[in-house]
Amino acid sequence: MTPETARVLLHAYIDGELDAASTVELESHLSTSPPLRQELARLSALQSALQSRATRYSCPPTLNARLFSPPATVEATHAREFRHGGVISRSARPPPLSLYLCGALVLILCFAALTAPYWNRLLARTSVL
Amino acid sequence: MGFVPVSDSKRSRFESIVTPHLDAAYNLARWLTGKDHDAQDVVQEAMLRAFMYFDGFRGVAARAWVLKIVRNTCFTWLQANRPSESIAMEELQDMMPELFCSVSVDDPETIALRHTEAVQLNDAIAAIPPGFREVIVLREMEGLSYKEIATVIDLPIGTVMSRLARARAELRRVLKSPQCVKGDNK
Repeated sequence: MTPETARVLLHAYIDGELDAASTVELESHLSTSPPLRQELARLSALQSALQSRATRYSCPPTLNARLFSPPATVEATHAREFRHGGVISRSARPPPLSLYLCGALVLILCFAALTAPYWNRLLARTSVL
Repeated sequence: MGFVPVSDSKRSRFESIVTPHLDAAYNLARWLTGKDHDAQDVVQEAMLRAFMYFDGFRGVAARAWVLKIVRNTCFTWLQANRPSESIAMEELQDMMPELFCSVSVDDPETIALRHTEAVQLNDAIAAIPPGFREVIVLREMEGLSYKEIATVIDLPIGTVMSRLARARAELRRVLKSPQCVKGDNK
């Protein structure tokens, strides 16, 4: 490993991106090279300064609203237009899962009720036997 | 806007994929364009593009997918609106980090870096070329892996590492010269 390669690999090292073999090799260089250790100290200082103090901007609420405008409190006649007003408007949600489950239950009950005579006859026959 | 009506499920799927990465999207656009208003326009345009490409999205690495579209939209926007700033990547390849030579025991640069304040850091980030700025933002603010950054900027992982090395060298150079920070910061 040349000194120049070692200096570039320091970046992968502080970013946690260096593979195990190269890490071992780089660390042996670090143990024998004060300039390399100093470079590591500088890079680490820069990294921690950037990560802890540089500004990370958050998405402003106004932009969020522009992207996903909710269809709430809008007259039915204008609802459709409004829905397509935002860039990617939030549209009517699909019915909740509980509604599907209720529907399924009703269907099962209807089926049971309609086929009741058949089941009665079957039960009567088995009890005789 | 003339948005073509599409299935509600596609729209809500898109929203649930994209929403967790809006802060990252805005932060990248904010740093690359330099202004809140421009960043909002770029993110809005990027979201339109993302929605158009959504059918081709494979469902993995959503953050890199979103940021790649935002990043490309930013550079298209920079080329149209600030041609002087969107410098060619070939120019970046030629800029190698300066060789360090001063090796004193109590290193003043390390000490200075530890005490650098937010405003100096922000000015320095704004002063370096966009090609360097984007890797700093993606790595140090968004915490992307080299693999994710490679996806976003469409370059091999090895190039990501050397680009980061040059970006950090450039930041250190700017931070060492206070006048340079003031002069370059628009």
